[in-house]
Amino acid sequence: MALEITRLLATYGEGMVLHGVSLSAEKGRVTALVGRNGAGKTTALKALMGLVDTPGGQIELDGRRLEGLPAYERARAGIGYVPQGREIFPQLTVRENLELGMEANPEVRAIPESLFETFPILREFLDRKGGDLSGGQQQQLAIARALVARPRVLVLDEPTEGIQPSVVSEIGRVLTRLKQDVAVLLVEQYLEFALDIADDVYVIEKGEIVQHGDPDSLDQEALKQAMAL
Amino acid sequence: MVETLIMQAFNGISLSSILFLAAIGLAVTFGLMHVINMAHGEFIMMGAYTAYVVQNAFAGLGGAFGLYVPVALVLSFIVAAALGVVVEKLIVSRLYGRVADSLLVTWGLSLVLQQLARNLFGSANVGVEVPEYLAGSLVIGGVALPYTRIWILVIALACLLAVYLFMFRTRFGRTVRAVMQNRPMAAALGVNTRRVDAVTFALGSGLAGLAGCTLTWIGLVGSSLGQNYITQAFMTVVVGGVGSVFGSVFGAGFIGIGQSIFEFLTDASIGQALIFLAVILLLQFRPKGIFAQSSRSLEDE
Repeated sequence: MALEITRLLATYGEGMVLHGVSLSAEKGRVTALVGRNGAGKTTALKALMGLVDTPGGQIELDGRRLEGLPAYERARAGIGYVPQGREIFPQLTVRENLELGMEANPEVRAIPESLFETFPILREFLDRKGGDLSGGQQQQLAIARALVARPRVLVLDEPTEGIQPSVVSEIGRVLTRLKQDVAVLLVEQYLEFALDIADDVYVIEKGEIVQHGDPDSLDQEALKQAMAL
Repeated sequence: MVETLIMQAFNGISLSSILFLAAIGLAVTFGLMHVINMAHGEFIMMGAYTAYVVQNAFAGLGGAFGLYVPVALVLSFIVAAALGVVVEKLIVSRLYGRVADSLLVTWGLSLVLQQLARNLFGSANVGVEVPEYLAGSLVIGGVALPYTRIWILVIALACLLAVYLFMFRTRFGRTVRAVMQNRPMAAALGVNTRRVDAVTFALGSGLAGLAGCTLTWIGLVGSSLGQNYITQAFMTVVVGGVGSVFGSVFGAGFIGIGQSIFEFLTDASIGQALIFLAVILLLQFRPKGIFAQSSRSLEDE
């Protein structure tokens, strides 16, 4: 399973935010896209998901072209999206949030039991409103919700943001385990976390990829500069 | 005295049940699409004229005439829902999120539909004959409760139950609530939000048509029928809170019963003014209505 993004452009209103971003993510690896605030990380994922305008570029998932499709078709094609801020439906129960995850894959008729083994806390809170969960619990719910439909690629936007350290390391363990079954593409500002779990790192600056390689081969000076505010 | 009070309370509940049917479609479509549909009243009118046409078709059947009622109920729903599909596809779908534009365009549509009704059925009001089994009243003590109004109440309660089950117990209802709370995220999970909008709009229009059908038993049918109820239907939505089923029930009860009480204590026109005043006061304290949903799209505006 592989995701291939080629020379993707993205606009927000009048301004161009991505200037031709190319990257790939495949099964067996955690691919991280790092960069400072405003570098275009979140926009890159929104462009991949079809939530912002993409005037140019290609998105290919296992040979299928996605760039012309609306967001819901991309989800059904196999992108599992965990957005920044988690975006749990606050008035829906945890169960209903998870059941919504089934919309992307008609073959999935029930919430897979394995998810509760990965995130035991969710079983306890099945009948609670999503909005009543803590940040860390919501993050686990958001990841589980994206996994319900058995996606080909799991895309996460800053999963560590505003989350206590114990949950962060738990999420790191889960992602490292998940990469055996699904390609993982992670956007992160928390550099240590990203370098720790990633097999492949892209550094983005002002909407362009400036470095690419495995975590040890990156130019540390340039990386620090790219991340500094 | 007690009889009069019970009578007034019953009238209030009866008006509330009609308002609920008229308003629930508005509440859900506004919560979902942020389109103010001024033509919603004309779906009520279409439902009423559908009942009129069905009644005429059954007129020659003698003893079977009474059977027109269930047929009219079903057809008024279907006709209004079908009209809803067309309106949504041609007009409303192009106005998502543009509240002011949608207000003007659907108001224009409302005028067109009223004129269309006048051209088709004439400008004079027409009447629908109530079948024998709906005529008369249930007399308890000194109070006479008309069967027609009892049935309207039963139909409204059945619709409430159906709407509740649909929204909270079905897969489609779950997607409706999700789109209402966070449209982009619902889409990113694979929900075809355009389809959710279209189906919801059609069902809301159908319920308005059903309301129109029941109105034929308690009054005349004319091209301006919808106009008589649209203002109160909007107030119902505003009082109850946008997008909330329970809000619509509460709002309808507030307006319907409140208006009956005020009209009883004063007269028809002052009663109307007083209920408006009560709504204004209420909105000072609960600007988003009693059952305000914390809708992300609402906060963004």
